[in-house]
Amino acid sequence: MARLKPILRYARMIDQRAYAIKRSSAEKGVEILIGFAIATALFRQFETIAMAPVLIRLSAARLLILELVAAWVLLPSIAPVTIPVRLLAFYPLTWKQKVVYRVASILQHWRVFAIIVLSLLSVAVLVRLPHPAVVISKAVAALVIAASVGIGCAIVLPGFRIVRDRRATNGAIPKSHKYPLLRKEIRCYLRTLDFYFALSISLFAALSEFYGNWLSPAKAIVPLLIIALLHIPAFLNPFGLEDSSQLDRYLLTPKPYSLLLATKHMALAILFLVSTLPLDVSLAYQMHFLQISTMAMETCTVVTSCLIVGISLMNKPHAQEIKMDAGKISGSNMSFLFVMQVAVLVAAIPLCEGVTTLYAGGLGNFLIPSGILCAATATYLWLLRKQTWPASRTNNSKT
Amino acid sequence: MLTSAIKLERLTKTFNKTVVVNELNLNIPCGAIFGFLGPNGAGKSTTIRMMVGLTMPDHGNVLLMGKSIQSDPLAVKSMIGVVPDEMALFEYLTIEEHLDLIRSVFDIEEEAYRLRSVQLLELFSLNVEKGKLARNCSYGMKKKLSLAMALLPNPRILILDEPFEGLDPIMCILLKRALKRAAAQGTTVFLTTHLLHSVSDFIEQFGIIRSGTLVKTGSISTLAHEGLTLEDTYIREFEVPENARLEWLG
Repeated sequence: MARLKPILRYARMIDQRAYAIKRSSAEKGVEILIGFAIATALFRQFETIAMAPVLIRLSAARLLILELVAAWVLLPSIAPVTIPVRLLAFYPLTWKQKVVYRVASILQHWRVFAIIVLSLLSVAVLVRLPHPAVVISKAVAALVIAASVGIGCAIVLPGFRIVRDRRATNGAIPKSHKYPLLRKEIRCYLRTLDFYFALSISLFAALSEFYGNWLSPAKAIVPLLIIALLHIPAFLNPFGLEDSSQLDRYLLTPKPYSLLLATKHMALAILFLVSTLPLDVSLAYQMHFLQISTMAMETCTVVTSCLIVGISLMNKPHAQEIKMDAGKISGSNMSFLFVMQVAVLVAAIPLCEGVTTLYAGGLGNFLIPSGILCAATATYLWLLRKQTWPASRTNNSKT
Repeated sequence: MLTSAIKLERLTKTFNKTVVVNELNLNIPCGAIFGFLGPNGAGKSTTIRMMVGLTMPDHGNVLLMGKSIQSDPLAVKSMIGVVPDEMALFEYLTIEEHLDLIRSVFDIEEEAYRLRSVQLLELFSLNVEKGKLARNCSYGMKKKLSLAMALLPNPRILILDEPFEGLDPIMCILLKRALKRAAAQGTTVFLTTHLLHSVSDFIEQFGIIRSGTLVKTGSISTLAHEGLTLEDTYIREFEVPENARLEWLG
């Protein structure tokens, strides 16, 4: 144990330094917003398990355990290890020391601590269900397996890889595809865990829509907002996944900047719509045609609003430092303006809802969202048309 | 008729008050193979970056085929093939997909693309590994891919930063042959290199840059007439330091 102490101390020191550099007040603000939304949803579930009728209690308990299992399995994205495996291999450590380092590095993260506490609480609250001993033992087994898988993945996986080498083919003519740039962008974004995190939120929200009663269509805006927040780093800095060398390739292409940006935005919009699809389908299940059209337009308005926020901020040097990373918003010196934009977005939702309510029952429900969508699209196109490469990206030093 | 393919006029760039390129003037005719030589940090790569629009010069002009990169960047970029210093590849695209991307952005016709891509993959021995992601490629393979991407649109000007670095000798010979053939057809080749001995039989004109200033230009034929080699001329421009004191080594 004495031999492990310096390693644990070193791991803590490195992690703390890394987070101190990466995190800024804006990031903390966004993280608090997401945390608050998740906490509210979880509180409602605990409340349902404790107070609601037996059948609803069972559904809520299943959903809660499913969410926690997903949280454990997604551990590599929720609590990313700051030192990659290949860097760890550089030091003369035994494999046991490496495993201890990795586990320590994961477990000391506050999010993991929060998941442990929530897991214990969820197990405790299962006492309220019929046959608690059986239910608790099943839940504990599921959580232990999920935790083992999550920690194992966090230790083993150096990064989340979606794209792998294609099988080598001999002599054939290279294939050409339609829209290779768009395909490239979609693949690029699929590398991030943010999309999968958003998709899992959407899936669980959709499940609760079918099997629970705590999420009404009006409240679906909460998961939609969380999904939008997860996508915001990509909207804000669409070139965030590219390093300086890859940016050079874009700069060398004989295509206008607005076209490259629009392609990136199209890829983002497609992935946003795919990640919200389960939620949309589950909501549409309960609605009639006019309501479905309205909802579709509202979703498109959210996407366009995100793009407008991104496009109006992306030329600022701080926005360019935002990187998309595994399930978190990172980057240093993010502008305070970003937090303000998010706050305005959150504040605007009840306001829009209020205006819409005034016209409830008539065509107003359809006309107002379509008007807002048209205005947002026009604003987006106007902003896109006047976009040029940021000067800082064509004037950087060779390094 | 246009005789000058590359024209640099008083090109200057400063980083953090350090002048990296200073009042650089160059005039390279169409169909020439020009070697831009100099030690590390002399300003070769920065000059190339300014020529292709990756870095904006503080002042001065870059004219490629008579068009300014500053005022008409898209027209200029459609005429040039570039191998930048860091090769500029996308990690999660395969070799084949990189070529497909170039086809799309340079609007190469399907027939021409098929013919050219097969021949380029064959030339650079990449056809077996064309399904490999760029992130899993070796340095040499990345260099060959970057060269293939530069050649694929059949550009009028090729700007190559260290094209022979990382290539094996046979590949160097094949590349030189291909570039000579292109130059004979009117393509202008501008390249930088440290491997003087391997390009002295290949380049036709040269320029030597030292601390951002062009100190010598000339042609290989003139040097030969004077009984000089490219290496001699290069070494004359620089002070060769005495042997390093590494008594402890070995």
